[in-house]
Amino acid sequence: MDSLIELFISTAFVASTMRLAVPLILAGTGEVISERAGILNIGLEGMMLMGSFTAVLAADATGDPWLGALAGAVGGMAVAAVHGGIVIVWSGDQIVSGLALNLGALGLTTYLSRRIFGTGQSEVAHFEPIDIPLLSDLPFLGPVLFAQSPFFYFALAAAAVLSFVLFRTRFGLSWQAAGEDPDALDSVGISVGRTRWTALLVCGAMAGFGGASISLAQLFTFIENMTGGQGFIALALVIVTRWRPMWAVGIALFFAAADALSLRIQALDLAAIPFQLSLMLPLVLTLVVYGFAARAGRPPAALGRPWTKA
Amino acid sequence: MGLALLGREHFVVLAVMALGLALSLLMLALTGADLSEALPALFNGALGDARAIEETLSQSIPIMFVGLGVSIGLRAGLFNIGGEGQIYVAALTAVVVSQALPVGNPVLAVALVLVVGAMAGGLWAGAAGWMRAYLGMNEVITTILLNGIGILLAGWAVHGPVRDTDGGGYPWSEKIGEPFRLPVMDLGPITVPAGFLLALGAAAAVWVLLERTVIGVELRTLGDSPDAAAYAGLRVTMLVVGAMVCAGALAGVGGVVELAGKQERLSDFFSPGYGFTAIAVALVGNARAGGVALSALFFGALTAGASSMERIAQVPAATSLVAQAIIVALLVLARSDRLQRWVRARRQISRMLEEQALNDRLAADRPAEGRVV
Repeated sequence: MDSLIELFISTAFVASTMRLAVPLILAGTGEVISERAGILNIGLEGMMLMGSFTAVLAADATGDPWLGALAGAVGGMAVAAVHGGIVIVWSGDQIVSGLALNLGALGLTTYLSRRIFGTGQSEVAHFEPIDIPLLSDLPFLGPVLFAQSPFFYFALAAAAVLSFVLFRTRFGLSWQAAGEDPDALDSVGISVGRTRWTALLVCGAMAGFGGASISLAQLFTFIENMTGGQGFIALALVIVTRWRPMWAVGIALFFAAADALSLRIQALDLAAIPFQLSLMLPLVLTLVVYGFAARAGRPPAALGRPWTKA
Repeated sequence: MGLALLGREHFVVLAVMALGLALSLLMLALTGADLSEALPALFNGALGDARAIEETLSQSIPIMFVGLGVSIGLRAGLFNIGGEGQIYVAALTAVVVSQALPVGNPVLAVALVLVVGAMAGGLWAGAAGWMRAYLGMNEVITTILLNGIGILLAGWAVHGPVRDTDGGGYPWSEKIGEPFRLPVMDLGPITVPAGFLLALGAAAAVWVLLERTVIGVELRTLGDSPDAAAYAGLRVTMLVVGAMVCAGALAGVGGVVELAGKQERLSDFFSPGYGFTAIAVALVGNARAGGVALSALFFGALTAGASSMERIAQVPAATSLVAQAIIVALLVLARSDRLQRWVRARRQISRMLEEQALNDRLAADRPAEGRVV
């Protein structure tokens, strides 16, 4: 038991929790914005996966991880744009469209990575942790908070900025209106379609960054289906946050701790706990937390409903 | 004319499938695949000879079972994305039961594993139904999470408790006992796995359930109008759980048939995404039993063709995933509200145009009276 407590407060464990939370924070806050505006993105996983792929593609071609990260966002936005075409322009079903996008992103990235990279994967230009001068020398807090990849700082900043935009600006209020009462938004002369598009594209970019953070700051290469369901965990996370961007940070850290614990159990190679069972931990935890939170919050009233001008 | 049997809806689906295939081939061509090699490989692998047809039939079995399950959910207004997990959990249960109870009689043995598989799959999906009905949890998310848990459970089992120690180093279970295996029927020119006939039987049973029973009417009422279902005094919670249990039981039987009729061993790589393909199968089949059976054959052929394309023309088989995605996306477009209104408006416009043309013709028959030519 003592060793377990030691584990939870160990620098390495907390630092790895922070690192693993990054993709969840990025994709989660993006999805919060999109759902606030009334667009459900079951395709979040596909947007992340596409982001992982395009990021590696660009980082490999240019040798510049920053361009890679940017390309990741563009990849996520591209998938989001397809979703927008189907559900905003054509009023198609949001769930089915999302499922198709997940399938399509998995197929397309697998197909293209085999064609472009073959089966032998090599490391591409990637992000090393940035040691922030002085602060990174602090005991415990240094390695935990101030020696992370640029994605970590970006994720925190983005969650704060998006939270501010959503709750404190006119622009964010129109996002909320698009998800709560699109008719009202329309009646004051603001385009529901355009408002939903911006929210959806922000979500695509965030999910793309999230995918890029996995490929460029965790594994340094592309592996088939490398997001491995994190997009789905992020979807559940959004419900637990009750659609508040800053909460995504806290909940993501909580889920990431389960991830980190699962990795730690595997690394320790405890004969008593097979790695498959430790991998189940984050999934079971997500399910339980979601179960408790499912009815705690109220989703945006027009979430998942197509809107067309009457 | 055979075509007269097809309604507008059928033409929409056929057009979507053709367009989806065409777009997928376009993607292959754009990414530098040699279509002159790939296309014949695709066709021959799906329908080229008796062996290819057998492969197509064999590929269509699991997705037909799971697709039927997904369809029951869809008709009741539920998305069961959990076919993959339900397959694994059911196959694992069948492996464990077949090892624990070495039944000798083949009929009893097969019946036993089918029943326990149905129960396991039904429980796994029923859990998601229960979470939906009583906790308000979105079944799309819960079934996806349950997929992960079920697959890991089976993965743990085949690396641990049920691993075949003489399995040539592969982490898989021992072959399921002889009496538990499903036979292959020799029908002259081709052989048909017994599982295929079971799948057709399941399609018939689902048709009866949905179209000819009170429960079916209740499930459909729920899917068409939850308010009406509640107003009619139907127990919505029971129906939600029941629909999910049925869906999972069908997926479970599909998993057991795949185990007992084809792979014989459970492994990490037991299902290459049958649970997801089944969603496309159900949507293309319009969630009708007959449509699902046909669309399972189509996707079975696509899978068989794609793997032959990978073998012969070195085109990654992931192509078939892309084709599935494009077809589903196009289907969403074809069925979107907007398009339907569009189609209605278009129909009105064409009727107006017809009337106009008729009037013009009638006017032309009369002697020209002050008409500007």
